[in-house]
Amino acid sequence: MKAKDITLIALLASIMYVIYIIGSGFLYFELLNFTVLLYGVTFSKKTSYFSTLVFSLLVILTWGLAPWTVMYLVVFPVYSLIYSSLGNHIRSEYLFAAFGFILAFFCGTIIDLPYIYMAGLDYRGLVIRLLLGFQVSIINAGTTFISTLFLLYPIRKALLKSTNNQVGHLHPSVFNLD
Amino acid sequence: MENKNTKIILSLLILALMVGGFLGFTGFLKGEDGEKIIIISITNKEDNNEIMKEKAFRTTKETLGDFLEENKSELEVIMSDSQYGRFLEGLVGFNTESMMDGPWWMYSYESKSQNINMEIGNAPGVDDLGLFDGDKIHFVFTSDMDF
Repeated sequence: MKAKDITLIALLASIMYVIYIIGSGFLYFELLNFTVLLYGVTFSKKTSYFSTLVFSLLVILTWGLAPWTVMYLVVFPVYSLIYSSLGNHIRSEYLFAAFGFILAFFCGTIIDLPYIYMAGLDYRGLVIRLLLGFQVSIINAGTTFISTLFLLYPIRKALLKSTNNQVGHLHPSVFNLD
Repeated sequence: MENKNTKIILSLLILALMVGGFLGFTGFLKGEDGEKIIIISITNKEDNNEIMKEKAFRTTKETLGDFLEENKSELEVIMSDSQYGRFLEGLVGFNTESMMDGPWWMYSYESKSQNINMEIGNAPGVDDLGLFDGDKIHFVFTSDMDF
């Protein structure tokens, strides 16, 4: 990996961390899932994967090693790979928004999995735990859907310009943007 | 223009889904209305002192948070507001001095009517815990998070 690659990854991870910190001030509205989607379909698979990985490591460094921070390390890099693959097959921003909605909705529940497992809940307890999470997830998912519809393509175009069309760092699909 | 209108209509539909979903999930978690009996136990695990054993309280409140607010003076309740709802900081004269090191107030929840049994530390926050007739809540003051 060249110094230029490392710099770009560090910059993207830092931007993501800032978005995460700003979003943590608002319980229900966050743009972290949208940012992962944006990186996944705008940058190359390697760049978006390592950006989300470095972001997750930053979260562990600042918040400590805990089941939820470890789950960040699993969820967001995997999400970036999923979005990157989707970017190869999808052009419609509506479909991106729909996939963003689904993945953002399940994001919180996946992060909560170690706690659900450790709690040893019975059936009713599990339903309550899931519903409490869904209260937040439905709004996160909606926020991701709306921001994808309105922000994804304009930001992709702006990023394409600002990176001077550096082929190695960008997702192949961005060169087909109208 | 047509594209923009489609986006706006879809966004409004999603907003409606967000509001509807949020209210639906909240409604499902609500407690029983009307008068009910709630059984409270309180233990200070720091000095192994059983402060209250299965005392019955009559209430019409639907959540644990509202029940605690109602019995604020008798139980010497101190709660703080957070973005996640109210947080229990003090009970029967024992208060959390350090949020980092504890001891904290934790509780277990048992509801025979709802067939729910949540161990200490696994019950939802006080504003998310709906109450039903005969529910048992055991408050424990402890700095031991390993349950």
